[in-house]
Amino acid sequence: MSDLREKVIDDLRPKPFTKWGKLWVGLLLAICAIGLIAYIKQLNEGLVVTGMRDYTTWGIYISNFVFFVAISLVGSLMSAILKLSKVSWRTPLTRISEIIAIAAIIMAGITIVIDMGRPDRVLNIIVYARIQSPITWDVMVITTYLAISFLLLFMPLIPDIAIYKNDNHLPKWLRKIYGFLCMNWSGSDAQQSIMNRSVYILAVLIIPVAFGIHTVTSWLFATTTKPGWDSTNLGPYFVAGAFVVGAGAVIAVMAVCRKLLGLGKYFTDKLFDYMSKLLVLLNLVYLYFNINEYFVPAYKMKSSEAAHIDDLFFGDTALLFWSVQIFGMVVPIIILMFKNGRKPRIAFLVSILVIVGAWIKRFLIVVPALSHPAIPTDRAPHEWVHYMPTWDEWAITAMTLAAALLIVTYLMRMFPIVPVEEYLEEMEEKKGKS
Amino acid sequence: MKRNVKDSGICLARILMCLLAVALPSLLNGQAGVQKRTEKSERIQKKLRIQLDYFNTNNEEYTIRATVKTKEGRSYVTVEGALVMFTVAEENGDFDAVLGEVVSDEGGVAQITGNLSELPSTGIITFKAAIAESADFKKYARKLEVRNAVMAVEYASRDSTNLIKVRCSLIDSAGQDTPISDLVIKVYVERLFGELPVSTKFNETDDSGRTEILFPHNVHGNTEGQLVIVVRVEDSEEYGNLVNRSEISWGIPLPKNGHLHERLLWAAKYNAPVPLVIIVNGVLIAVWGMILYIVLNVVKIFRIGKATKEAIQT
Repeated sequence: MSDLREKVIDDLRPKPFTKWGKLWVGLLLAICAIGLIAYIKQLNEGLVVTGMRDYTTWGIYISNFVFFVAISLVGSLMSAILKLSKVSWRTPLTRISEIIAIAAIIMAGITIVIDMGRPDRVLNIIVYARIQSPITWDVMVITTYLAISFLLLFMPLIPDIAIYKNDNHLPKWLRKIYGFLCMNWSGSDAQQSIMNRSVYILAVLIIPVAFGIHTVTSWLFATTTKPGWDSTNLGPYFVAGAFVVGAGAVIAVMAVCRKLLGLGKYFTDKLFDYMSKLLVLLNLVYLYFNINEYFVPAYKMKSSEAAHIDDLFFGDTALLFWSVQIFGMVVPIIILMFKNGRKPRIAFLVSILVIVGAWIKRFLIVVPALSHPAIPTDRAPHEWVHYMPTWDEWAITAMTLAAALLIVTYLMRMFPIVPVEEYLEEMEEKKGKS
Repeated sequence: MKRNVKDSGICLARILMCLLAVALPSLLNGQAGVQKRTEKSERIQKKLRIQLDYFNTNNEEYTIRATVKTKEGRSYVTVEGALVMFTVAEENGDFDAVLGEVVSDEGGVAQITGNLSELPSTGIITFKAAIAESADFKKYARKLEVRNAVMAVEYASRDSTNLIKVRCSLIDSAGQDTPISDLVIKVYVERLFGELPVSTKFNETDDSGRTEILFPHNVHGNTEGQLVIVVRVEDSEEYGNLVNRSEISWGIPLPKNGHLHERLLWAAKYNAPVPLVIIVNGVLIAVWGMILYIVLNVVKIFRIGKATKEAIQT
């Protein structure tokens, strides 16, 4: 067992960036720099640099925000739902999912501030918040989710950090950080008992909060009477969509870790198989909600909904809409149903399809509904009604996506990507049983 | 068969190359021609038009405003960047005194403001706005003659009614005051983005040049009830625009924003249903209570570890 322990500790030790890793970080930093320039321009000139006008007041910033909120749900899926269901294969995935959740939720908050015309007045959102407003609930629930996700990442990390705090293979600066963060962990029974209890409470706590964050975000739309948003189905629809993109993100990061960090032993083919099957299940549930979401209004074709549905099915956004429905949902389900489709490389490609589809899907939820305002648009200039993101918006959105990937990359660089102690415990348990 | 296909391919390629060799120079020439034509068209000087408006504000200040336009297609569009020189004819009419030069803004407007006493005391004042010939514009000038009229406005409250008493008269070169009849007077109240009309009907001056306008009681003012009332004679061919702007306490005072504290998050009971306030805060306290408990557990882990370390050391 000691040999195995040494081997696992050696395998999972955080590794410095390779040449490709540095290139990757450089690329992300360059995207962030361009986005920052665009944001400074937006700060100076105001939101007029965006394509948002009086009618389409929410654009790709809000789509991006909803995407980030959705992707963050993966933390609760892996660390809470699968943990409480005693699904043993999820262990190597918990840290990845928590890292993704943290990065996504941080960037979701930042994206909202970016969407503000006067970010210097950000404090007014809290000071003069109206407690009956879903926007206020969203601020509250996002902050709460961030705190719980942080604790859920940090607490299981303590024993792992303690393992590596004196590891001479690691750079001194990292060992210093480990020394500070390990909380004098000795692995005593008392510490272990507190740790287990805390993680269990967090796992239970994060589920309602995670459902809350997605439901409340959906209420930002559903509490209006706008065609396309005015639906009681929107809460579960958002939650289901969030599970899909979250699972897709885990498969993508897992494939990258397997390939670039040489962790094939931990991110096994079997793990890809399980995750792919889970993704199929989640995608089927999401497909069901999609049918429900679009079929009922399309059947009734109430005058207010008709323009919106027509636009999605046959109009300007039809190509995007059908691409997302087919390539972001149906095709992944079909591919992943086959055993060969669940192999790491194909599963990775499918997960990318799912993630890209999920981003476009959020755009389709947010923007087309605003293109059919209740007030007359006859005399309004074309560009007020028809939203087209400007390069500033694209640059800033790319910056937020790059920043999220940067957070994921650095956290993966700094901490063991698989929970070492938990993994070893599991190995011991398996050995005991056999 | 294959060779035949290959040969015909080569043949076709040669024909295309020949065609290209012949067509390319003419295409390039054509492009250059288009470019030359574009440059030439860019050099075409614009024919301008000026609309001149005169404003007399409070009988103290004058404004002469030129709106520069040019014809594009069937409609006129405003011209930015035209240098407009304003002059006024001197009393003896021999030469024009320069008032100033202003470049038109993006709305095509160039205007100059000054003290009325600086203008000649003739009965008729003649303004001129001129644009000199330049690379972009043809030269153009326009004159405006206005008669030197004044509008005296008095604000009176009588038997709980508010009256605006207006008298318009003409001042001739000898300083003689002659009443002006049949002038339409309009009353507005200054608002944030424009002027709100408050006179319900057209009010015309009588033979004595006077009219009285009833001011409504239901207009909101600032926190002290102050309003900026604007009395206007608009676009008169003879007299231009006569404006009187005065601050009067005839408005309904708006209460000071004393409700601001009620809109604070922690004063939610003023504007939200109490059960909602209790539920939201209850859930928040419960969840954050548990988060605090976990943080305390982290501290506990730290202390236990520290104690263990100290025990080992001793």
